[in-house]
Amino acid sequence: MPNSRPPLFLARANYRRRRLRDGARMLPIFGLVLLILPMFWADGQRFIVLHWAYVFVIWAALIAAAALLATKLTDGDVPPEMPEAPADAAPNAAPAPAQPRSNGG
Amino acid sequence: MPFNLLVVACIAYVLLLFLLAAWAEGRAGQGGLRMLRSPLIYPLSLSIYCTAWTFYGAVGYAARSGLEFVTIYLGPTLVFVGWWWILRKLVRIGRVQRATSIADLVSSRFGKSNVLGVLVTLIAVIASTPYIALQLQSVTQSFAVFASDSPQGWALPSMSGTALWLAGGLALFTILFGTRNLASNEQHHGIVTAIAVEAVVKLVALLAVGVFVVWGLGGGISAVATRIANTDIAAWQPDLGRWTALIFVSAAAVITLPRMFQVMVVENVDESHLARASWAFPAYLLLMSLFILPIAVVGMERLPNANPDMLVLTLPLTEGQGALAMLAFLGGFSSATSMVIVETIALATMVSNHIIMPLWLRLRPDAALRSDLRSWVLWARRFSIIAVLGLGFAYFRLSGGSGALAAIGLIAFVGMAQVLPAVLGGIFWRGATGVGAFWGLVAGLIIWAYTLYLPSFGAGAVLPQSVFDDGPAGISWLRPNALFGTEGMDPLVHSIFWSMLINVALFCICSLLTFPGPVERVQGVAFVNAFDDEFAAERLGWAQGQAEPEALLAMAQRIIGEDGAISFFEEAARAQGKDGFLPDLTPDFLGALERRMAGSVGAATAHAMISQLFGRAMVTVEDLMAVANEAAQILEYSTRLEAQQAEVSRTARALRDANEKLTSISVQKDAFLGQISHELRTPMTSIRAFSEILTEGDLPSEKVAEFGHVIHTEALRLTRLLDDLLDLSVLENGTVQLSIGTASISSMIDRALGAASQTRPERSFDIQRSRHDEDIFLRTDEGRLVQVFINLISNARKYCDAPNPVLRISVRQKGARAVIDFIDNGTGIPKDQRGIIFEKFARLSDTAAVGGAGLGLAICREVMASLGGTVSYLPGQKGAAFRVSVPLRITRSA
Repeated sequence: MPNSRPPLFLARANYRRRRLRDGARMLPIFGLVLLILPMFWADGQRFIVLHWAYVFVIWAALIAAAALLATKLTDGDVPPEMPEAPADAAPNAAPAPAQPRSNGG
Repeated sequence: MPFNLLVVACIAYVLLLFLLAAWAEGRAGQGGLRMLRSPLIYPLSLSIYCTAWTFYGAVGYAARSGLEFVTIYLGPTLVFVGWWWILRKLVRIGRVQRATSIADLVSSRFGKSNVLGVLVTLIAVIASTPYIALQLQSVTQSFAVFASDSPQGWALPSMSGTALWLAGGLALFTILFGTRNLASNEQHHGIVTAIAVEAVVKLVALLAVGVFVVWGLGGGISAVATRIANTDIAAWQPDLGRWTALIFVSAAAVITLPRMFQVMVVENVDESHLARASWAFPAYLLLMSLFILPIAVVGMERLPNANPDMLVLTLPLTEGQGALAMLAFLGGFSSATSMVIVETIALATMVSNHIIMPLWLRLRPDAALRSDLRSWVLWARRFSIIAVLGLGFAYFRLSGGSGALAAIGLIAFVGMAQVLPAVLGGIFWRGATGVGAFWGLVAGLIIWAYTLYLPSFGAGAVLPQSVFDDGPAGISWLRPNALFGTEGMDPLVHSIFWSMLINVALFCICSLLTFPGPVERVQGVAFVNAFDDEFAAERLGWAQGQAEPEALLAMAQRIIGEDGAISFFEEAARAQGKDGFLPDLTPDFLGALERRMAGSVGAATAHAMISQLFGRAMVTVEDLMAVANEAAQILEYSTRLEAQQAEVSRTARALRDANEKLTSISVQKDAFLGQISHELRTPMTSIRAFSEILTEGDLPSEKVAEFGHVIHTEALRLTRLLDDLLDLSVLENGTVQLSIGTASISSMIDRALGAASQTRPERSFDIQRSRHDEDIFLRTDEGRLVQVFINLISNARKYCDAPNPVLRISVRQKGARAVIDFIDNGTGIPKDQRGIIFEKFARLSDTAAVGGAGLGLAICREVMASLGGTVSYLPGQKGAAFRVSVPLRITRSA
């Protein structure tokens, strides 16, 4: 089966793209859990400085992760369809999420 | 710092913004959008989320409630970080459906219901009025700070005077750049450019104040950290309920706030900008919040008696940093003005599209056709802008400019959050119905007003004190701060919890119980499957209507402008392959036109106007049924065609069959003629030959007698043959005359045996019969039946090749028929020849043939057919066997 390799590779690329989207969906959930976490720290202590630093570190990490995901997600969109791509390889990947539309306005 | 310098700087700044906006509009007009709408502009324009409430209020919030202020920015961060989930879909839907506002989106999703549009508009106006008032208040307060500080003793004319000037200026700016034209996509390039610049100004200002406070006053980060730990703020205790509820409500607000929807969805020119904004906007929020806590801590230390809401301004001012204070002032001014401008545009769009225009069209239904709607829409928009700003100003005057900024902002957030279930349900759940959305919104609005909005005026202001203490009419479980006895909840959490719970519950339950209209269902599919099907929106079916394209063009010109309308029509015509400006009114074209017009006047109005031209108010079930009927008719027609075609091919097949039959009959006829001539010629030849010999004379008398006998026999044979032929022809033509009588089978067999004994009289046959069984009387043509019997018996006599021939005749009664079997003990008829024995001239072997033309069985068959019976070969009887079946009483068929 010499032809089996290219589809396998494409499927893997599609697979990665879909997992990337899953990641983009999960990110806010992770973020929410991490941001609520300090609420369960022990009471009565003057934790505000630690809390303050913690919130901003998580916040920055979320922004970095979002930046990474956004770049990857939009990068992959430019050539979404390979000519040889099997039709069933990416049923959900058809509409590019962020096609460049310069005709607006 | 002199106050008049401040005023000059402020006016100069405003002029700068005016010029910038005018320049941007000019560039946009020339098509120079690339630079204007760089990916940077979009996240910057989103920063109108940070209003004066952020700029001034966040520090006050931090001073009062510690770290809780960040929740207001964490919610939006989570929403934007998770853009793939909600915002991406919202932006796509907003663009495809050309939603002009959040109210338009909700109305459009739920069957272009204007009731929902009005309801969302109402909520937005109620929630935003205090918010706009808050911006006016913060700017006047900041003026007041400068005025009181000025050594020259500049007295501010009056708080409300400043606010009035401000509101007037903002109205002017908004009208100038917000209603310059009726863009089909409702985009305002000048305003977006201006607020992007203001976004930079406020960020720089706040960061500058923060840097000054941390490194100029606080002595570095670690020193500030120590200070934070040692102030009263550090005593703040995290509260899980408030923390989570505030993150939720701010996340909801960033989606539903009219101004956020305006910049995020309506002003979006490129969906890929959203991907960049997903991290750039949270980064902006992070930078804005970074120094809030240090400013609050250091400010409270240095100015313990100052208004914490004004610390961003008062701190640099008291420290003698005039330029920094000026920058801070401009930052706050930017925050307030950009918010007011965009919020006013968004609200004015909603008010004019959902309240004023539908009302006006209802009052004057003929106006859709006659007057210049374009200018009408613009005037409605301008009037709405003034009304919205007027409301904000009135609220500011009435509330007396009091109250903490944070509280007002949060109340607005919770109010707008009531729209969230309808929006999210609308874009993710096909089963969501307009009725569900309506009751959810109504319940949410009422509970929010009762538990949060009205109590915010203070006990005794709107709601009497007794309601707070004992509940309305003494029903204690309806107290505004303890619905259903939930006294332990924080008032804000209490309001969010109950309003959202009942809103969502009613939305879901009513959606489950009600049935959406056809337009609603179509829109539901278009919204929920926005990504599955790019042209789902096209499916909103318009049946072929009665309006003329000219009338439609005339109306479209008044709304989207002459050039826009003509080029739109021309494009559509070209797409249909037509020349000129008037395309066919296909459903696709009408749908596209409606969406295009919806960009100017809102979905419901556009729908109403096209509907009016088409002489109907809504796409009703009847309309859809008419479309379905049309389709059914076409289907029926094609089915009929198919049936006809089948009929034709059936006829052709029948004709072919008939032709084949005729051909074979012709062949049979030829064969028959050949046979008959052969049968006739044989005896004729011998008769002629012998008669010639006789005519020659000179013959002995015995020879003459012998030859005469031969001639006689052959003549008899000829006569018999001709009789048979005549008989057969009569029988086959069905013109046979039957003489019906009653006779017993027994007597008939007797007669037949007697007659048949002439055939090969030299053979002795053993006849086996049972006279008892034969005692059956038949009502039939006796002579004919006997003829059949004779034929069968003589056949047996002729052809039975057994040495001791036996003929068994058995008679039985079977129902209403008598069955007579003639069975001999010969070798019988070979299987392959049984099929032809009843045909004419079918003689199996000529050798044993004696005086037969092979017509006997054929005649038998015809006779039996005319008697209503059958004769058939009976296989498996160890000899030739024939069965005659005849009805007991003949029924005349003819």
